[in-house]
Amino acid sequence: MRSRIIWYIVIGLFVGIQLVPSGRPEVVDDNPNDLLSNHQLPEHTASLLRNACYDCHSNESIYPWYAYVAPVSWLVSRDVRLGRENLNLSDWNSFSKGEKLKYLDGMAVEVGDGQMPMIIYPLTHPEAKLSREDREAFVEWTETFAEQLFSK
Amino acid sequence: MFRTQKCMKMRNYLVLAFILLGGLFFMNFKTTVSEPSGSDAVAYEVPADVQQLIDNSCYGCHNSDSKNLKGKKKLSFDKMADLKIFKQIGKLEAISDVLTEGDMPPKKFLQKMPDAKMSTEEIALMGNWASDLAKKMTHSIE
Repeated sequence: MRSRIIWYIVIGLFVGIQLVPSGRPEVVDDNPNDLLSNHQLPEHTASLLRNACYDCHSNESIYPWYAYVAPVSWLVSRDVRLGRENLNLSDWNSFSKGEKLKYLDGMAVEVGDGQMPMIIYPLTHPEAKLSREDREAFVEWTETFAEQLFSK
Repeated sequence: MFRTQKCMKMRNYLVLAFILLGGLFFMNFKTTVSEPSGSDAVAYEVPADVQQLIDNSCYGCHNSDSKNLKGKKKLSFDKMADLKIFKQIGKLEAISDVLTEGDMPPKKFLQKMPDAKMSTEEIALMGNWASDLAKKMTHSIE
């Protein structure tokens, strides 16, 4: 009897929290300033960005099913919101040269040092798992790309 | 007869003088335009008042021997001068950002080291230094 009541409460709570808005950031498909749609990047770099960064650092997030189920949806929404706040690659062409250099240096440090993608992300996105070589090649790309900003 | 010869001689000297002068001007002009433009890049430099703020509030974590691995990887002030100009500009922009947003020095760190706290004026001084230098450096290589 008692365990039944507890179950009812748990299920009731679970259903109840689904009604709380998660604040999931919107997906926008048309991004005229997007990095990948404006620049022909090396294939390896482009797919790394798409697979390991773009879900949180662009407007083109692809949400998995659990992004619609509370309470996990709250965490996903928070990560995407903060990711876009810190660096939104869909806005790339609107940044000044100085900002671009700041972001490229930041990407080199975060990815080179293994801080990004977040540890939890590749658990459900195996294609985002980066090898030492992937990281080194990416860091090298950030430097080449920075130099290219100034060559006309 | 004698007089016209003298006149001709004088004219020749004048023409020669003009050619020499013109040549000198031309050479001068040439040296000014052919100066290499690559050396115009503005160098990373820290004025004494900013250096004092760095030493007091930042250098403890942001140096290449720091135990704070994250701080060291993101920015080591002692290695700044060795970096490529693209990296220097990027890091200066980030310095200006974290100061403006009040993210640095970290609140937790200030609780332990209250002497490292920066006043509003000091934050503005260092933030302006970083963003101005970043702009000048960017402009100099454009």
